Amino acid sequence: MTTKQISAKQRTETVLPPLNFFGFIRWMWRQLTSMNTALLLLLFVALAAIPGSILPQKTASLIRVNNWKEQNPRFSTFFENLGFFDVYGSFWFSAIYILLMISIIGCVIPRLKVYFKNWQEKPSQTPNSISKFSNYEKVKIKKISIKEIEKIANSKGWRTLQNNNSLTLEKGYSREAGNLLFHFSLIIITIALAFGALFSYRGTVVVKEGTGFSNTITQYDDFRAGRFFSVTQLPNFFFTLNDFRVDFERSEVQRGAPRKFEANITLDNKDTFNIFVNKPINISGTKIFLTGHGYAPVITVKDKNNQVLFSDAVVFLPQDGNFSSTGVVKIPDSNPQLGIEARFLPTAIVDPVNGPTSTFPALDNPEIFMSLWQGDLGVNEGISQSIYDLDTSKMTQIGLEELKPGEMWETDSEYVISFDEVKQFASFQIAYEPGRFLALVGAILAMVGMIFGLGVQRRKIFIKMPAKSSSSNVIEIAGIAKENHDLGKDISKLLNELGLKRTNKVSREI
Amino acid sequence: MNLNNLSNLLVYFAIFTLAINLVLFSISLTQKKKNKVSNIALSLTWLIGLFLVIALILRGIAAQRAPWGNMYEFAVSSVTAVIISFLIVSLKKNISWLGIFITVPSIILLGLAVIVLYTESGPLVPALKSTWLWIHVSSAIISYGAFSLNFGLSIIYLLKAKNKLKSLPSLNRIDDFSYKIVLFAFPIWTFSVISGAVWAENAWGRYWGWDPKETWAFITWIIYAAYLHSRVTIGWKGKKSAWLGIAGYAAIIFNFFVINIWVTGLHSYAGI
Repeated sequence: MTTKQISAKQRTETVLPPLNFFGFIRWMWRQLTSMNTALLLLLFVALAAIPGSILPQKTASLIRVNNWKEQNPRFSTFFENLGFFDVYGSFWFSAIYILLMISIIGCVIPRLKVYFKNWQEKPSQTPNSISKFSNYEKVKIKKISIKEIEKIANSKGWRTLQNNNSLTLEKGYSREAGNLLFHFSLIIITIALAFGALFSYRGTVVVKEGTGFSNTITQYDDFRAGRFFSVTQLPNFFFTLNDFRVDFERSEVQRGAPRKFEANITLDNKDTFNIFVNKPINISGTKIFLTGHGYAPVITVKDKNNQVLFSDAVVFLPQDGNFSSTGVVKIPDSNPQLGIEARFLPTAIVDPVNGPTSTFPALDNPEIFMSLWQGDLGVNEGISQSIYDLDTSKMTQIGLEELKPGEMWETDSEYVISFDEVKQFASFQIAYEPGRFLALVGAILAMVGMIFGLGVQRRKIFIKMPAKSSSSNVIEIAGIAKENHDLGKDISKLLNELGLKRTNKVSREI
Repeated sequence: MNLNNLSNLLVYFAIFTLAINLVLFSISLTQKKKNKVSNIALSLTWLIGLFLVIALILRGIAAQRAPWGNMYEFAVSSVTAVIISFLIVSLKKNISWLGIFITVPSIILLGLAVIVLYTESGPLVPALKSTWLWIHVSSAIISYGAFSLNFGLSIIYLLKAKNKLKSLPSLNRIDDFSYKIVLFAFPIWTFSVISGAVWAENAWGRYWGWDPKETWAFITWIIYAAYLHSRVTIGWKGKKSAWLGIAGYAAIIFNFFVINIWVTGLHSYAGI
């Protein structure tokens, strides 16, 4: 086979992906950075985001994911394997997103090169005949030199190129600059998101009135951190919740809706702050947010010898807008073990159909409905249990009782349970998000880039002056516009700025 | 009669006037380009705009806050935005042919607002007490209004392309017009999403958390970005653009109704 034959054969194959490695890579790269692919990837990102908005997500609430799985056992393993409960951390979502970013980079870099090249160059030369361009007209003018026209046009933001007796004016370069800035800032935002995902941390904690929280991992109820976070990064602080205040709407309209939340805390035994919703406090970059609240009734359990088995404020989790709340007390140290399952109602009524319910979220008529259990709590088996659930499978119920604050319940079997008072608890989110400033910068740049990239229109105007030798005072003017731009307006404005009144319109052609 | 009742009454007036316009704009479609019927309908639209603006102002005064603290108020605000943007464009261009496509969704949305979403006016829940409510929600309302126009135009385009409609502007004009609306609305929508992220950072400690509402705002953004991108780079126009416009609007509607009402997330507040 001669070399000529080989090259001919190769030429016919160039449309297909070449078989050698680098050729294949180059072919892939070209496919990936093509506009069609970018568009497809863009729509895929949107499509891929959908399941995460419909199915419960682990990042938002593990409890809700588990509930969903229990209710839909048929799909749970399948969806779990697909990563549908953690869509935005799944490999396929990341894959689409990363491909999109690569596509953007591959698209922006060549355009950046072209842009800088064009930026350094002067506008193109005026064509010999401009009568075929749009908005062509001949204008009679007063005496003005081409240099003067160029000077004025430059001062109005036109880039110009003069060539003998003709002039090209160009505007709209910031359009491409805006486009490039926009795409570039999408990359910045992605970097910020990645940075945040690697270094940030976020935790929630429930704090009862009169108790405190110190910023160590063990004190968090729930703690999530990025891969590169280290425990030593946690800033050292300590706060006590002195008082939590809440107001609810009492008038008929929107009755029961919250009107004010306010947590009064003392930081490091020194300064006292109020934390509101939407008004976090900032401790060297770490922010403390008020995210929720509820009631913590103080319950005391004694045995027949008046020995205190348990006495503490117990966090009851609100179940509805009127703060019907459920809570659990576990006393593993008594013999036999004891457990209390209880419902707390801040404004209790006994509904003939639904039983005891709360009709208002404030403490108008607080009551606890509790049941006492005896037996094996199941806490010794080494499996971690939720502090909000009581496993009664190995226990027997001793009795049921309802109590108001200050009341006591003496059970038949030797226990005295008292409901002493009601405290409140507040839940806080403590978060450190290092990428946020960069993300904001990226977002602002994206806005600016977008406004230029969408708003600015590219156009050229050509002016032909009469030859120096001729005595004619008629100039020709025409232009090209790329984005449905109204050139007529531009030309009128330019003529005005040049002081060239259309003294006599000679002719007007399309 | 208190301010709230007056506000409600004005919304009912607006619905009533919209019903009249439904008939008038339908008739005007069968007539020549410039006709008396469409002129009357246009004047009535100004009246509707006035009713709605006053209704919103009254509600704002009654509650002493921006009148978009719940779904009812947000729906009324969005319809107002649609009608105001229609009116502003009508000052420059003859777009009475678009009237019917503004009137139908406005009646549906206001009807839903009054029947399903209605909540008595009241102060805000603490989570919404922030300056960002003004900024974030007002920009969302403006862009929703504009995207609604785009949706109407997309439908018109597709109907006209199938020869279902006769006396309307040319396909090219409709297409160009709907493109310009997205050009206007997209940066505002972007701003709304960004301001939402800033607010979220301030309220919840993270600027982006894939909350269902955030996710659908993102999906909406992507679809309209694709609309613009496909147009500029690979020259999608006409039917394809119209379908993207419809898809974008479907995402908006899904976000407003389905996510607000059925999906639990951080954007769920007391009293839809």
